[in-house]
Amino acid sequence: MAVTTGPSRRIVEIVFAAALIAVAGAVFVLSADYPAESAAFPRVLAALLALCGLIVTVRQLRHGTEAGGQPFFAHLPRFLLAVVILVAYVAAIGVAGYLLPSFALAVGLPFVLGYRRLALTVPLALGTLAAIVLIFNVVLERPLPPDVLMHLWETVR
Amino acid sequence: MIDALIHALPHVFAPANLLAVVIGSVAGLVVGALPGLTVTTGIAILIPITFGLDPLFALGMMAGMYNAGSYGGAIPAILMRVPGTPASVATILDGYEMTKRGEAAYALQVAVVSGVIGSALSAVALILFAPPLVKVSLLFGPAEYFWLAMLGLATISALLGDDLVKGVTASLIGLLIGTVGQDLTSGTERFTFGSLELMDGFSIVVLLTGLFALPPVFQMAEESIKEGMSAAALKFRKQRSVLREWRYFLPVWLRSSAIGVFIGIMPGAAGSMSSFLAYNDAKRVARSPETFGQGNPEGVAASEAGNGADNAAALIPALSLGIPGSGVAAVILGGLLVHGLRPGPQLFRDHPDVVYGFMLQMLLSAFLLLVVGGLAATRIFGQVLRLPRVVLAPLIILFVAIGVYAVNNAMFDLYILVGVGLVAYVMEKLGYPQAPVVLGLILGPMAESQLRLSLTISQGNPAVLVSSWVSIIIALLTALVLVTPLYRAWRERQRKPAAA
Amino acid sequence: MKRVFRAGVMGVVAAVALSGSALAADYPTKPIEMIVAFAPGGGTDVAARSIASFMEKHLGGGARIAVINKPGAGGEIGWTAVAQAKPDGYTIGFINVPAINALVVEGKAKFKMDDFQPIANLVYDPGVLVVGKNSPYQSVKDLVEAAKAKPGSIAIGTSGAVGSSEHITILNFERLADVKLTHAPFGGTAPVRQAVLGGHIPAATMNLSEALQLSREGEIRVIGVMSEGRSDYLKDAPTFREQGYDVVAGSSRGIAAPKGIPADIVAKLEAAVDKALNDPEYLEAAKKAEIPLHYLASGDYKAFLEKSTADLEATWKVSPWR
Repeated sequence: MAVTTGPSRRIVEIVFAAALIAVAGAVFVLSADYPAESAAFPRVLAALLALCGLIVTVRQLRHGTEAGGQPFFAHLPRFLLAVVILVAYVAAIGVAGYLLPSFALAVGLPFVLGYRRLALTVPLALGTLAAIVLIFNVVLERPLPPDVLMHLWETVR
Repeated sequence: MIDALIHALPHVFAPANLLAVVIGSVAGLVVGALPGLTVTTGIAILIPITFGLDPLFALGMMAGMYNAGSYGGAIPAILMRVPGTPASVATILDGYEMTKRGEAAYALQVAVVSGVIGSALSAVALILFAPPLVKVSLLFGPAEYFWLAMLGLATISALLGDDLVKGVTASLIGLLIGTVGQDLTSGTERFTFGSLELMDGFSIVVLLTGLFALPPVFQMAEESIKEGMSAAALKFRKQRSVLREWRYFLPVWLRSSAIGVFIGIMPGAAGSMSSFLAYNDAKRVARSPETFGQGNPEGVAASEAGNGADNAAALIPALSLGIPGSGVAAVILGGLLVHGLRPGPQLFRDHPDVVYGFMLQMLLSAFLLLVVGGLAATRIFGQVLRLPRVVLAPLIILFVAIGVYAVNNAMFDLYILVGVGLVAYVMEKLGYPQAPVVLGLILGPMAESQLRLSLTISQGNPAVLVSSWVSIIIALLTALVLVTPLYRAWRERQRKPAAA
Repeated sequence: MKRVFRAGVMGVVAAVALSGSALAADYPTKPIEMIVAFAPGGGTDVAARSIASFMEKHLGGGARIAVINKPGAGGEIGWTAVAQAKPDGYTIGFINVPAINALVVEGKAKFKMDDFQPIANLVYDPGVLVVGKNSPYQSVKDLVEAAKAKPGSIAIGTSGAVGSSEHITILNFERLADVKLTHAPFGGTAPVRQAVLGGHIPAATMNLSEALQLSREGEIRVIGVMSEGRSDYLKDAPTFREQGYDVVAGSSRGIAAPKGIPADIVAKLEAAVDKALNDPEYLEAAKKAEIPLHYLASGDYKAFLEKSTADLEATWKVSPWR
């Protein structure tokens, strides 16, 4: 179990607050190039954001609460899996188009998370995609991301 | 006017035109419910199809689409926490909590009835009070809009949540995201890193979807819940009836509708402001404000009534002066032009039957929504929740992905979506509220650009900000909104030791 | 379920790929993508969608035109997509002068004007300078004198941002009249109209077609039209030239394709636009709506584009807008 718990809540709190302070710093530096009237508003916001980040950090360091020691993630491996799958999905859309990766996601994600009733997931995935194609592409003429299926179809002909 | 209304009635209820409103409503519901599709898109696609048809047929479809589409956003918001439009964010706050409690059917019912009331009152305002309301809208210049944005930002105080610092942090994040893009007044590109896609700033729909729709997906993955909601939880008749509780909701409906109409007639105000302002108002006067955000039906009622009341009201400056009060109103103006109808005062003189017919259609479509949206659609949509959550979550992603892509037809937005979703999940688990991010994002740019615009026009003289009585009134209202929660907190503190 | 899905996909696939080769003789054999560089529901979008359906009719043979919105960066994203598309006649786009030329002249855009093959111009809408009905200014001269008395005191509202065509026009006017004005960008046509009607801004620029009704109703006053002669739609409104300022500006919408597209396809599209604009049904609606139609065939449109680019280059040299 020890492997799967991941960082504690307190660590994530502090890392996130540090990230906010870093963003605030970046905003401050980047706006140096802008004319004064354009830079003023983001700079004020950045200063306040850094202040808030600081307060959150100090609070965490000074009052170590019971909850702070708890693991942040309920199930780290499954979370990482979801992140990887989602990133892969979006990347795959860029390469292979919308339909194939979407089908893979709708069937694959429940499968790897332990839901194996393909008799439900496969027809559902197909039906959803059919509905999406019908509404977005056929009726409303919104283009789908360019799809390999279409190229295949073109070459087969 | 009465003559014109009576004259228009038979045209409105002609079978073909009646059918047009029904078709428009059904299409609007679908378009509104799907993220990434908007009523504006739907009507834009409709326009060339209606060429050569009776204007009231075309306008009927638009009216149906407008009112139904504006309600449609509430369906995925309540059921799946997917905001179809910025306006539905305020609906999510309590609506999704109600769904989690097993009151999805009741929440949808509250939303649809409140939407109907809001849209209907708004249509009545359009028919009866267009001329005086237009005069009100002309009182607003850049300085007044600046204060209006400040009033909207002040309502963040109602959304901060338990942890004040984190609530403020969330607002600042939203405000900072809002500064990305080309700065209108000086033309400087801020934080775009040379990217064309960022020149107009982040797409609001993309951010909203990432902020609200993705975190539950990650949570589902972590918890890997293989059950769906029981059929019983989705039965409509078993749950409470909104219509029977009308006395309870009436004050919220009336106040929210008044707010929605007011924001609707302001062409320079962000459309989603009305639902947030209405939500804030309902919470401010509520007996137990702490229940807002935890599944209080009044929150859903306020947000949806405010949102619905924005609709017809946005047509007031559009029809009478050619100034569209919203994106949808703008495209409806385009649709009128295609039929050779130019907006302006003469429209009411030259084509009263069309104008008043269209107004009546707005009213009619509000009531049709009760049938189309309330009885039929929500029952069908609601059943989706019976799917096991591990199966439903990826299906939500499919719709979200295609919707986000469709906003600009750009892959770029999909990458943003995933990035925002991840950050939002961490923020949510750490207890940073998301609603303030949205308000900051929407109203920050409005506040900044209107402030700088008014200073540009006055050559830097800050007195311009308090030079009109409208500015002063809104500034005072802003102060009131900020002070109320503080006063409440102070009173609570006074009371507690006394009780103890 | 499977069959439904297949039917759906095949339908789309078939529609896109009816034929692989693009022989000009039987053009078009698949849907033509018409890229609009602005969001659905905007002025250009509505114009594109209306004309597209008539072009389909006049291209004949069941031609289909799909309007694809690629909004962002003031049109730059969509125009880049047109410029970089395959020149096979299946991607065309709406371009807006002078916004597109301004991007090129600034040297900011990834495309040059030569990357486009002009097809036809559809609309030309001259700019106007308007004031509210209670404004003390009756003519451009009144405004110039007031601005000379207190330089920078008169703000002119525009619907654009810095570097928009309206901003460029104001810079030109400032130079020609030797006067200092203040540019107040509202970022949209609705707010600037509201501001001028409500008296929140001394003067504003807009397009003539947008000012017609309000001016006829006496809600606003058009003090100068930026065209060579008076407009037929608004005969009482004097031009800038009449008043001694050589300001001629306006915005146009036309159709272009990526360069290198076969000449006979250009001719087909050009003819389709011409016939669409003269379609009685379209013409009647356009007349009623007073849309300022201005057809230019491919050759004339090219000359018009070149001239406006040259004008902007001259302006950029004396008064850069960024």
